Amino acid sequence: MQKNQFFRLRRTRPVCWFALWMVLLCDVAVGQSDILVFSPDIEHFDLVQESLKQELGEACQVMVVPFDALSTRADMMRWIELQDPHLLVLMGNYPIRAYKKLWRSGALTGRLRPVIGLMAVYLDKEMNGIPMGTGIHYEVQAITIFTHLRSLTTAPIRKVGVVYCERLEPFIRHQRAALQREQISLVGRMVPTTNKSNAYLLRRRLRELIRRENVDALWLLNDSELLRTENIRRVWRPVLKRFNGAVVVGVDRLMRKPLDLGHFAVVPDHLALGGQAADLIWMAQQNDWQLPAGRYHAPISVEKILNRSNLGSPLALRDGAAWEVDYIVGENF
Amino acid sequence: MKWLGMKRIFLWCLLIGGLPALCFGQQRPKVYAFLPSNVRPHALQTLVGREAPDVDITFFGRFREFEVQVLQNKPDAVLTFPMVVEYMSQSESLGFKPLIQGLKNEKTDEPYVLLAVDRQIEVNAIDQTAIGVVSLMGRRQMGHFLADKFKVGKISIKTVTKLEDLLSLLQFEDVDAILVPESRLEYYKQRSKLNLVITRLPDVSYRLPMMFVSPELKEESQKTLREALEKLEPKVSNLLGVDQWQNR
Repeated sequence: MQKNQFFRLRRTRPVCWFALWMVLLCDVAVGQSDILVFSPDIEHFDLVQESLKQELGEACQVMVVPFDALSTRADMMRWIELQDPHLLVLMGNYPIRAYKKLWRSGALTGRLRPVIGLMAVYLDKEMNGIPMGTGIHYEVQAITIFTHLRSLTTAPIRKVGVVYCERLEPFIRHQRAALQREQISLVGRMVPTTNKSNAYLLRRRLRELIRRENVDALWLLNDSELLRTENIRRVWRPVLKRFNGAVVVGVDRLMRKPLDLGHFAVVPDHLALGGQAADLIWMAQQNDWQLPAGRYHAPISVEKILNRSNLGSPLALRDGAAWEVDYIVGENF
Repeated sequence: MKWLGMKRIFLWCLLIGGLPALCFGQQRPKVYAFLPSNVRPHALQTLVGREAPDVDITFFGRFREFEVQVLQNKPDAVLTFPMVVEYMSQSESLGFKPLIQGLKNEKTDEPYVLLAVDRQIEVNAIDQTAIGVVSLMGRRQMGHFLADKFKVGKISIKTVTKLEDLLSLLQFEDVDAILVPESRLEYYKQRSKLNLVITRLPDVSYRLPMMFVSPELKEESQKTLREALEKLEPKVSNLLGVDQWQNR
């Protein structure tokens, strides 16, 4: 048995050496990457990377390094030092946090390079403190959602209601100002952060929006506390069942059976997001690898999902509206 | 005995699999289409497929997907803007030849205009204006194409893949203006309450979509394609950006 193992090792050792040399050679060969991307290995992230590479074509050398919750800052530092890229793309919250810590620790030496953040929740907050940081938000903006909704329905969309927790006040203020440009007013009802899972309070806020404010549509934010199973069962479902307007959600899960909560959802178009990021990289390349720091762009392109059999009243659709949506629940979704 | 059984199974497979291919597959010319529109590619495919069952048509929403598929699979025909085929032919010997031309108001070209918020665009200073455009050929090539159209050395553009995304570029002030076909002005005005101001561009127009066919395509299949497009309902042709088709 031991003899066999010995022979196996002897036979495989040259192969191992060859593989090691190949890895080293590859390292040297790819040592000229213009763009270094740190990203977890997740399907949606892969789509963005694929599109980014396609759009950039041969103009830039792009290298993707898998990076998730188990990866270390030392890994990241090794790759940055080895590749010495012109620009970094950090996809998701883990790489951004790791880079931020790495930067703060002072371990990163060498030149300062622009950093593009993508696909992270509340990107501007996450990127705060990263020098030369910019990026594209992952959250689809209210102006995009409600312009699309208004173009699909014959019902008026002039006043939109939203229940949000206290810490989202700056976000809501920003959304309200942007929506005003499209002559849509956003009426908010705040729930204290400490009390946001309180079903009674949530119900009261929702009823205020529907009865007192007479809103045309309701916007359900992706807040795991507000959308707790118990809240869905005790508040959202019974209240929305009697609501005559449009209900917009941010996660497709809420549109599917058995929840059937929303009429309409808008999610980022991942292929287009890669293209949008490529646009930023082009801009940096043309500007001697410099980008205006601190500017966080909104995702431009989205995918629209429609649910005709919502639990409340059906959404009145304009003629041909179904041709303009990407997915219809129960048909191709 | 065993060999005879195998042979019988093989013959049955051939019969079951081969017959439909003989009846339908070979006679249906394969067409790849790339015509960015407000209607989603899968919806266009259903609409056109319903009206032209003799044609096996696939719509693509992004130039890169279209480019890859055309180069890999070599369809019998492509339906797109002439500039797209011209650009692709620069690097690959596609050999497509024009079969049928789309017309709008009896013209083969469509004028384009700039839309901006609250202001007219200074066409003389176009090289200092950031313009949003739908990408028909990838970013770099679109830049060259438009610089040529506007007769400037360099132009600053942002590209999107869908018509509706141009409006988002204006809403987020990512560009100064967007370049849109004159026939789509109403579409943008209906969608937005922004004060959209038009700047006419007398010298900027795009040639309307055309169908190009492979030189090896049989005359009978070419006839099928011609008839399929000519028989399209005006509403469907309009979605493709034309109101009439003319033989080349």
